[in-house]
Amino acid sequence: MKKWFTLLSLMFAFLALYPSETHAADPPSLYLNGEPIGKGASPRVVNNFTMVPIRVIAEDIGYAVDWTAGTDKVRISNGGSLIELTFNRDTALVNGAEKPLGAPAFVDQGVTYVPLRFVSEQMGLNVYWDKDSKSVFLYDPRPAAPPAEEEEARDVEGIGIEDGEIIVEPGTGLPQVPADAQAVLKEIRFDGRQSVAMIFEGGIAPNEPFWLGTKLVIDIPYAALSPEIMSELAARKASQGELIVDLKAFERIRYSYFSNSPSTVRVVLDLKARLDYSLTIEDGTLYVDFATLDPPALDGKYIVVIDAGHGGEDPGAPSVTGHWEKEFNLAVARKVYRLLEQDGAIAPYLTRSEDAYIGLYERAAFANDIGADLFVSIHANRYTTSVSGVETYYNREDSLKLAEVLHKHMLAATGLPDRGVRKANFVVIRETVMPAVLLESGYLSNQKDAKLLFTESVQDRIAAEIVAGIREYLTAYGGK
Amino acid sequence: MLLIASCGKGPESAQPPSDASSGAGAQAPAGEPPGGTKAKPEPVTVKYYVANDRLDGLLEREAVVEPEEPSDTYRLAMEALKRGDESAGELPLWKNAVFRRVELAGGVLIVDVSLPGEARLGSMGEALAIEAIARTAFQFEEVSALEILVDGEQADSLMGHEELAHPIVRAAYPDEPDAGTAQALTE
Repeated sequence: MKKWFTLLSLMFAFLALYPSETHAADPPSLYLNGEPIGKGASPRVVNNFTMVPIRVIAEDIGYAVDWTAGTDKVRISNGGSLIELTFNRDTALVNGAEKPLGAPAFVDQGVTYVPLRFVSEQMGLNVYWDKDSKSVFLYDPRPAAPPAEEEEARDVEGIGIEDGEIIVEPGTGLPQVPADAQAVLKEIRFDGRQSVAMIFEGGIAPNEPFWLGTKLVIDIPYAALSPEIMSELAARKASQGELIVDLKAFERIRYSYFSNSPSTVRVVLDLKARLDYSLTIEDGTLYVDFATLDPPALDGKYIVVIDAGHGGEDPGAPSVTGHWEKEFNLAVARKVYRLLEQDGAIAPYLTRSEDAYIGLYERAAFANDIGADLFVSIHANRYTTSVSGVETYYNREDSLKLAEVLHKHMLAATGLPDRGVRKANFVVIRETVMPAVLLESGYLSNQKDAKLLFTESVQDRIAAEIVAGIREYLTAYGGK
Repeated sequence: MLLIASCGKGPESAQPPSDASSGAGAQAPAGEPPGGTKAKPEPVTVKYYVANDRLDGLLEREAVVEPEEPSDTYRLAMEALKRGDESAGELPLWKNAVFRRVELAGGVLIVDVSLPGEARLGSMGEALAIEAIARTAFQFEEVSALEILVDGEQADSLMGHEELAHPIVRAAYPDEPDAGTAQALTE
């Protein structure tokens, strides 16, 4: 869904840039089920084919659109059929089968145009062209789907579909189970107290669950959704199913066909806190049992989020000592966490506790969701070999004091040159809603800085000073 | 923050490639010179940007390049981002990056890069690198947006601190250079 929004914002950006775009002297009018659509969209007629900005397909008709610039391909899906268009190519792939196009998709001034009739007909709409009024009428022969607005809104923070497109072969009944799936998910139940049961048919070997913020993510490789679930999702044009729990700290369960290489089912348990759980498999059923669904009592403790920058596939900067920045960030973050744990007035959280990739927005959302009082992101810098020193970044004015306090402690911990408290627009310090800073602890491109930062005793000192800075700040200014 | 520092020589501004913009619509840059082969390359002056030695702002520089064909100018402008005289306080931000593909398609300049380890910078380096490549791209009037891909993919972030817009639109980099990317507090 993220790409979807990217795409829409792209289109709006270009509409804003070209308000007076008037290529077609007399663009055709468009109607869906009798309602006018494509307002301000300026369709074009190419070789007698009506070409529409893809925004119309995405917004007005409501198909999912995925634009991959690197491959010059646009993928359009309605949950049932998948159309792949390549710019300037006169054939399209429909559910993998090549079909001729009257007019290929193209890009002009940043706007992607696709052939309206082809896309509509392949998606099962009836298309009529009225020559006199120069109008295109689209009709959906199927009964209208129930409104899914809430569904759509939720998808914004969707659990994501990597490449697990649900494809329904036209003319067949239920969707096929992918060949590599050794199990299918039949049903998910919540017992109303503290246990979730995921009922599979076939053998399963789930991956180790992991936390994204307070969401518990369980991937089950070599598994797929049952044909019944797939067709139900396709009918709702939804990429994921969900079960609302809404009990204490447990909000809901979501599930999707997450990937097709290998086929993977992803189940996400949306919680309001990281709760203790146990995982068991019995007769093809995967159980997640929580000891309690009560959120942990914080007793007025300050919530401090420590963010180890980068991780996983994003290694950050390399160090001249042969290490990676992500290692330094995580080592120090863990040390800070362990020290803060011993402070009765502070409840510390880590955005990542291992070498894992987490998106920048997810990091900020994690801190926002748990109502953090402070956010401290730990990084190390890189530039030329001669540059050395400590920089501390903030974005919002409410973060300046925290930046000043922590900067002072970072200078004391490292003994490196003072390169100043600076304002910048980095995502984690901008998107958080509490005082938030990003520490650039030293330059990994500099021999002296790098050696220092990868010395255990120096890391201990940095952690201790960060903790001292956090305490000093909370004592002076309190929580958010 | 952008500090304009003239480096003397050369014409007023970059020559946009002659097959520029509009009309042709969807097609990738036209490419073939008339007559098929080898017109003598015309030297073109392009602007590029490097960081200052405080790492809190950009410096504008110019380079003369000789594109084999007009559409090659974009790639050469990107390659110019690797230049910079470090001893003179001009620090290149893209020195170790690999430009895999540079192509104008319908007003969008697609720049596909690879970032080997040594090309990865700290937070402010990343911010300045993005501003430098964007300003280099937008010196060409026909470029209305810049789409940066990492190894052919739309990455969320280039180096893990800033978001990477898809695409970066010209409006994000107004000519008025005080866009507030990097403001060191006056000490």
